[in-house]
Amino acid sequence: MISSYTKKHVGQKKTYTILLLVFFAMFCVVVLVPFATILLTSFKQTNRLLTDGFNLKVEKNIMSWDSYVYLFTGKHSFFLWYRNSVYLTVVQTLLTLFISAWVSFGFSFYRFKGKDILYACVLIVMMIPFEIMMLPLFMEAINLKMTNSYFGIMIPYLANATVIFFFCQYLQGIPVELVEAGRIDGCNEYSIFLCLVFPLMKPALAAMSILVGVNTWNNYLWPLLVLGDSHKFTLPIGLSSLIAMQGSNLNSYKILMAGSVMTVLPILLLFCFAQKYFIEGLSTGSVKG
Amino acid sequence: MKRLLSVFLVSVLILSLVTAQGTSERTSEKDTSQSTVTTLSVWSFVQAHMDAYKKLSAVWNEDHPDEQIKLVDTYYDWASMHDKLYSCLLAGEGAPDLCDVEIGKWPNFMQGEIKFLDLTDYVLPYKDQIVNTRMQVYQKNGKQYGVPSHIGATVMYYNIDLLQKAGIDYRNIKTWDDFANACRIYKAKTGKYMTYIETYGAYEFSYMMAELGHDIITADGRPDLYNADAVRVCKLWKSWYDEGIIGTIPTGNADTDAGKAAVASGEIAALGYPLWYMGRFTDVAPDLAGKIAIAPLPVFKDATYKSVGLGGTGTVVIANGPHADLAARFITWAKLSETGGITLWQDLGYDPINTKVWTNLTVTKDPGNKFLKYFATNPFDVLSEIKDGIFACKTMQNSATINDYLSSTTWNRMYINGEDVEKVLKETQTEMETQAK
Amino acid sequence: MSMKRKTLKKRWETFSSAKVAPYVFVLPFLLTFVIFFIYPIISSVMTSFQNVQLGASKWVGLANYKRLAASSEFPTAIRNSLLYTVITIALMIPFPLLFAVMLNSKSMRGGTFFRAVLFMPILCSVVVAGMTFRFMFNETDSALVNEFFMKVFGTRRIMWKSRQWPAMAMMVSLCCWRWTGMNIVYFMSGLRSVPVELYEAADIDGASAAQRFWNVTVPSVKPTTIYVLTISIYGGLSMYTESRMLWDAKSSPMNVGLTIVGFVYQKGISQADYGFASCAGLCLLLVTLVVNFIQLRGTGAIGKGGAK
Repeated sequence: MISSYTKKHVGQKKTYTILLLVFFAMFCVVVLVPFATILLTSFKQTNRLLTDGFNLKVEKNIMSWDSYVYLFTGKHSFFLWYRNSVYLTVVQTLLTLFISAWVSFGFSFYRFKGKDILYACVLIVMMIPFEIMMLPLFMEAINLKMTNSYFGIMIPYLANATVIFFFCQYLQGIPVELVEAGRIDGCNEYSIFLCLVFPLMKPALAAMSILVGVNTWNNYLWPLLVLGDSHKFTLPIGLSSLIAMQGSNLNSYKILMAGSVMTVLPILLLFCFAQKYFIEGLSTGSVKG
Repeated sequence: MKRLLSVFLVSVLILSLVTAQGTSERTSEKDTSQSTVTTLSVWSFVQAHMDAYKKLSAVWNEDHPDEQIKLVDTYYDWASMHDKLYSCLLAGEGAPDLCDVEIGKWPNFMQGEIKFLDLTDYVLPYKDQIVNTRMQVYQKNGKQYGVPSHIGATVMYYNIDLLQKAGIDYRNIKTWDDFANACRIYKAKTGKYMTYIETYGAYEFSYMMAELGHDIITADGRPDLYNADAVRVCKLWKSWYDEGIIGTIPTGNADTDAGKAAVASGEIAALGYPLWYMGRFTDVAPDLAGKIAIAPLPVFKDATYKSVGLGGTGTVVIANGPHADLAARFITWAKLSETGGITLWQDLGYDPINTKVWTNLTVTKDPGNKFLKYFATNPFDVLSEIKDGIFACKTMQNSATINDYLSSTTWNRMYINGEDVEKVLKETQTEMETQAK
Repeated sequence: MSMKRKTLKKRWETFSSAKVAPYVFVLPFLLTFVIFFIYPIISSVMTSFQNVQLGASKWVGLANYKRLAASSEFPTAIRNSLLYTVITIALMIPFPLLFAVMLNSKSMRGGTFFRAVLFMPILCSVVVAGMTFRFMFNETDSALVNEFFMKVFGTRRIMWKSRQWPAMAMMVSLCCWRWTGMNIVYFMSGLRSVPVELYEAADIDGASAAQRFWNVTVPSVKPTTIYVLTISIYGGLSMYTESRMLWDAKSSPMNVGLTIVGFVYQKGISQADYGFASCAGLCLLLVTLVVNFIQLRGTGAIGKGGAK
């Protein structure tokens, strides 16, 4: 019973509540400032951008929907990049989740020769950031003819060490008896995975889907190296190609500002919707003692 | 609420997919009419260049109906484009037919096996009409690998208005001593700086060294930064800075957003920059129209040159491309011919390499031309004054490393950290020698 | 049954047996590890002894290593990366934990809402976030951050991009903005597994809020803390895209924004010196492995296998 615990603090509760709310409200305001600046700037005239820079002023006389109109009607590739990003994110996330779950099943429910060494390799790969391997990996992609394709972007990361590690932790919570029961019932190993264990991984899958999804959506360096044709560009590459274009094509700033807002918005909405599953997945799955 | 959200979400996704379909169809126009249209892929980091190339390709198509071309563009920002080109050339695939290579990155592609088409023969027909010293920059071992867009001759831009308020007539500034005195008077009368020095990609250093005929690398590409001329030039700028008559440009370079903003707001009364900077004035500073004069750079009394070609983009043709020959013929015509030169001048304000344009009075005295209308003096007049004294800098294997280091460290140590000029130059030379390839 | 069918059936049975199956399961990772991890490392070692150029490469023995040792920029890069990692860890572990505790407390209302808002920055791509911060931290008087500092604290214009500590502050603030929410979420989920009985016991013993925090909360979330620490070290040492966006892919004044990966990328591609970059990359690999190993050993996390 927790009554003694709560009774003691009932009186001070209200003050604490107000303090906490005020603190976090201010905190949230600060966190939202960068979003607000992009939003506000996307409505302003771009020729003032150079002189005025980013600020939070709401100047009604120079604000308009110009940038958005240009974004939706002008001749440029923003929505092509958008579509490419959606495609890549969905495909890579689904494949990564499945394959990593596949691998983690192997680690979690079997003893086999070399398991400890291989698991140690998982940890090692987890510890090495992609950026370190980036250039030699790219050279290898060249040799393996994997460049300029989404296939080439995805392949090195489908058996994702971080995701495998997370799933292994999660699967510790699933009793071995379940697998043995499946064997007794005559299922082969693969259908045990597909029909018994995989469906039980929902929270972990949800948690990792957001992690992998967000990483893939925002991935910049690796696709930049791998992709060659401009019609294959993903959003981050496309947006950054607008940022520092020489000469002063102000249309590029219009797309950049309005485009940035459009890049962030759907993900935000998606997150608000899926937040609950993500948090649940993280708590059930991760970092047990 | 949740259902509403999911419905909204799904519709946003569908909408974007559908619209993307529409846009991509628009951008990849299928040409089903003639089979003699060759598609050439072009990479650039300047939209204005692409617009000019596309305009010229239309002219080409009229003149060569059986050899028409269609240009397909891809943009990256300056840094990423060169990174991509380099990595594609290393990979041996993925490179475009034509590519703009900026001079700062040129040396990266001149090492090892050169993957660009040898354009020497394609350039021959224009040889007598063009300024050949500018072409040398994009050569290696006597072979031409890139075609420049302009001479990029460096001149001084003066804000006549601001100078007049301080009682200075720019026409009296002939030597660097005159210039320094003008700076002093300006500071005394207005309390502001007449000019600024850059700390990133400092052209100021380059053009003064060029006047003394000295490059930053030796003939075989080794760094040459610690010598009497370099010390003299740096000490001169530093002394003006210490005296308080010049300042440093925001973000260190006049060709960045903040730098251009400073120019547009009229903060800078004098700026030494190549002629291609004219386009920046017309784009970002419409209020200054009629107030900016172009004049030759002030010179040292013992100067052997009057100006130097700085910056610039050489367009290259990737060797072994399927349409390399056609691409080569197109691009050399587009940039070196009189027609091409006229278009590049009219649209971009680039000082043409083809000297026939200089004597074409309908062009050089055209009252409708936006650059001639904007500037108080005629750039072609200035060009003819300096044309026999334009220095050409070399770019070789260590140039990229050296320029990066100068921009990140050397100038900042001198101006921001206030260190001794000679010491910094000496240490720069040592560092560059150990890092030289 | 025909002979062929019998052998096929036998093969399938062996294949799906508990003896062979584990290898089939872990095969994707094994392949990935060998092809995309071991092989690049080996080729990196090879190229570190070469001067790699378009079309041809030259063996130069230890020349690249000598240049690395003599370079004044490499130590700067290492120093920046290490400083960045240490500062971000110092800020990104205690504070999110504190915030998580606050959000979790019984006096809090709408914790889920605040948590969602604080998580939003992660969803923003580094490209967009970096560009926004680049403009916000401009070195002019009218830039957002400068205006704030000048109005509220009365300081002079701060040169965020060209001085050592302001630049570090700029990079760290980008990191904090993006990742605080994530760490809060991790800690909140870790807090869920702290049994309430422990708090009650502490209460009975007459512990204050601070003592409760130090003696109950902190030890209980140790696994989460270790996890966050690991990924923070990983993230800190490999930071590059953020600094690339903040300085617009150009070199920063006095290399204040140069990180180790930035150095590798700059040399390898921007300066066409791939052999030299491989050399630096290998050093970074070594440093990362050592640091991570020490950290995991030190916090007692290593040695945990994956399974039953």
